[in-house]
Amino acid sequence: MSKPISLLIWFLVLVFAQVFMLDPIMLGIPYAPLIYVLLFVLLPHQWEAWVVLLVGFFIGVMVDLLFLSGGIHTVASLIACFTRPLLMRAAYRDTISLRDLKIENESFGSLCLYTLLIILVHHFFLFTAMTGSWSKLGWLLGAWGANSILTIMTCFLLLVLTQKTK
Amino acid sequence: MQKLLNSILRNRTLLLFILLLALSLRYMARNHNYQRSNFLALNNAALAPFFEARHQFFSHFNLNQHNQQLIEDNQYLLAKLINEQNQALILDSIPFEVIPAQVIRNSIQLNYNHITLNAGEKSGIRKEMGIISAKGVVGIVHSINEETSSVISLLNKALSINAKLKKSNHFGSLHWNGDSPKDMMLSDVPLAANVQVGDTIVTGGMSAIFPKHIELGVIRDVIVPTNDNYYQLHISLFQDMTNLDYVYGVVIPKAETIKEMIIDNE
Repeated sequence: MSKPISLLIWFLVLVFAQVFMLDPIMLGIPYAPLIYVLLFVLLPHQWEAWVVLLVGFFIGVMVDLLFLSGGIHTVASLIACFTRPLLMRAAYRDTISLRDLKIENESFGSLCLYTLLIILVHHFFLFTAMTGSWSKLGWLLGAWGANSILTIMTCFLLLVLTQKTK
Repeated sequence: MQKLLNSILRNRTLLLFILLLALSLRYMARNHNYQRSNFLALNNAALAPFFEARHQFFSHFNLNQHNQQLIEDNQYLLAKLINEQNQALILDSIPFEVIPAQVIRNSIQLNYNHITLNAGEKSGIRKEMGIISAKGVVGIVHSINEETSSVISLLNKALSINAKLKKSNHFGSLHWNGDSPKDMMLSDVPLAANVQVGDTIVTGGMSAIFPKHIELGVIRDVIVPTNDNYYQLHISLFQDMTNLDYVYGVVIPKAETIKEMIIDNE
């Protein structure tokens, strides 16, 4: 299957699952994994940074519209996409150039680290935007930690389930 | 131009990020009250120096407009003050009015000084109209034409105006003795009056020229003559007569009727 079609399927599945299955209000729980963040991991790293920004913005707007969350997912998604090259460098330190990077050839551990970093950055800015103030730092750190753990676990599970055997 | 385009292309990701972030923050601020107030506070704090600088820059171009506004404000406040202080003197419910004018010439070196105003008959200035400023009396209109008027300055030895102590009803006559432009004399205040340095002097209102209670100055020195029953009081004016700009003509309601009554009584 070609990469764009595969991405589109990922996008539809993750956003659908996010909105209709993993909505914290619908589930009646304070936190739910935000699996759509996995899309930022799956975007081809060869794509130009500005294209990734536009895609991140679009995904954020979509989630905000479906969750009626008024822009907080857009802000967090945009920042996650902007910092993506930095996080990628941090996760794949051994690779000389990102242009030469082939994630499929790299270790699963690096992919997990990369996913972890993107989730942490995304969730930090998501909850910062949600609280809108540093005065609720305790709540912010708690929510960031709890929700990040949930998202990381779910995303790792999805990565393991969809990992192609070499 | 080429360099600018190159620079934009080189930093397109950063520029696009800033643009999209601004859009999403705006989107967020529109949907969350708390975030909106924080965003606005941050926005105001960050942009306040720019707004201040912009205001400073453009305010220089609007000085004339501001001056005009201040004149109108002063005109309104002076009229209101005079009317409140002279309620009993208002005849047939016709209120006191003030007409703004600007001093275009002011002599101070002579014994008989005059002031020229840029307002005349067309603006409503009339002969023998009292001229005041926001700080006190300036003079009395001597002659007029369509566009300008000549005023007998308070610094004119021929002029004396009716004044009284603010704290009592002891009247006297305020005049200039030709010395310092800051120094006026108040004579004819009886020794029976309790007079102290620092007491305020106001207009007496016993004419159809100035209303009552317009503050003139304070007593700077009290001279008790040995062979007279009246004080000689040195007065420091509130209004610096060497520094006049905007002044106001006072329209006394039914001034002509009052003048006729005064003449009849005399």
